Amino acid sequence: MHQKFDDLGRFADPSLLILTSLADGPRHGYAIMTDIAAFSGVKMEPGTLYGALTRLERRGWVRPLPADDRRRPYEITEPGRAVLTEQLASMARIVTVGHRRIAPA
Amino acid sequence: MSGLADRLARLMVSCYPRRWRRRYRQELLALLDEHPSSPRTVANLALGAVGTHLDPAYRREGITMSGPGGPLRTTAAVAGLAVGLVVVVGGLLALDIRHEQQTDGALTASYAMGIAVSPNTRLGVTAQGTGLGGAGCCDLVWRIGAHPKLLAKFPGAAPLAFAYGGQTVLAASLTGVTEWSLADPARPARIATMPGPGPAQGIAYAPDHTMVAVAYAKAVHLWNLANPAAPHRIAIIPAAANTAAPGYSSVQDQIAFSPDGRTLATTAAHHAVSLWDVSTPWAPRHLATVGRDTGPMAALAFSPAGSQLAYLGQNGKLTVFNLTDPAHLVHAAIPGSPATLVTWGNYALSYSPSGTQLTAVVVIEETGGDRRICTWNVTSVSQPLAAHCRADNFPTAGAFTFTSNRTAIVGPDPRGANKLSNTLSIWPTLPG
Repeated sequence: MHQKFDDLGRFADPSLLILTSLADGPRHGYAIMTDIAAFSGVKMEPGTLYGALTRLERRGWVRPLPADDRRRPYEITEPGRAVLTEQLASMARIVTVGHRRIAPA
Repeated sequence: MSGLADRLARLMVSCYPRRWRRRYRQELLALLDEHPSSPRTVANLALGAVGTHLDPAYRREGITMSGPGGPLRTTAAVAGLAVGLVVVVGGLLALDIRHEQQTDGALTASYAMGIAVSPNTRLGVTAQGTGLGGAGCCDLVWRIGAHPKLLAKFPGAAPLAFAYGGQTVLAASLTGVTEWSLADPARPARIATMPGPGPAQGIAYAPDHTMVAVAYAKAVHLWNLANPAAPHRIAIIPAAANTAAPGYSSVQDQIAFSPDGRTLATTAAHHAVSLWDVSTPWAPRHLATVGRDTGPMAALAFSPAGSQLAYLGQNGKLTVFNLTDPAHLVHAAIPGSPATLVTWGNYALSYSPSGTQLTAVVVIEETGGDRRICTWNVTSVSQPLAAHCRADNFPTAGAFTFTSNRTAIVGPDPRGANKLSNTLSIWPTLPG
């Protein structure tokens, strides 16, 4: 249904963070960076942010909204939300298995 | 971080493919206005530019770098760009430290004499020192946020006023006022000049954005700004000089438009205030002269409904006029203030959005230049006004202003001998 998330290459991890940031509402670039830093501790730089945003927009997973005084907000699309849900489910499975395996016997 | 890192970061943006820049450049530059740039930012953008050139969606534009050729030649060109960027970035960053030291030294000699904040509170402009052939330097453009950042400087002085929703700033020049475009805040561009008999002493922008009043020593000039690129003068109103106390170096905020733009308040003889009907701007009509002997003016403000006018004298006395009954006025002294406020620096006066609270930032000379924030309940001016003041441990020099929503006071922070003009500070929410 969707292009594989892994096709994003080195932008896969930043893209996951961006989609997570946009999941609860539109944000512009700087707001995305500060939100990501707040919920993940990752200090994303502008080059990485826009490298990932470019690819997410091209795949139709985020869409730009009208600019507000040069700052352009982005919002997650339905396909983007589906991809994010799929990725988070995959990560949740990894977390579950990982916790089970590192737990003391 | 440094201004040089900011400039390098912007340079890196211009290295992205042209088609990419057409789509993303403005919003990325807007982001850089808010993001403190570091060498990491510059390197990240350089790698981003190289990566975008290698992106199949943009690779065709590699031809502009490599000339006609196959993929190998394009790749080689991009690799060359990468190496070049690394060399340029590395070399310029090596110069960065020296550049920073020079900037600090130059700015240490001055402090802010004026400040203006854009209506959306994202940008501020400060006037450093006298700026016009004196000890000052220039006007500085700041991005206001959690981490205020210096973006650019341009030749100008106080007073200052924002116009056109923050896209334009008006700044005093040697012979009047100059309009500067801040469409790209990192690159202020001169739009037009409004000549006058000398440096402007006060600037007030009409609420409908079509007119500006510029105060000089003996007159106020009204300019039509419907076409920002071609302002034209429409009237001259006689006014008295706002005689500064000895050594008092700033005479700003001496003119103000009422919220409906129909009334202009100017200084009059004997430290009184003249009210002018400017609803027909080319034929201003004198309405009344109110108050007197309240001392040279430090600040002036209309209430949001336009029913009151507040005047803060350099003698530390606040006067509130009820404009429906100008003969009736109420004085209030700032508790604990001496006969005069300090003879330098600036003061700010602002009504709360509801018009029930009036707040002033004042500087008390006898206590070593301490600043105080005083608030008066001005629901009724029929009774003596009781002030609620609190001392604030904020800087003793520089300019102050209230943002449009009163969520902050913004002023250059001179704390630290070597950082005198390099920091902009934001104060907490005001009462009311």
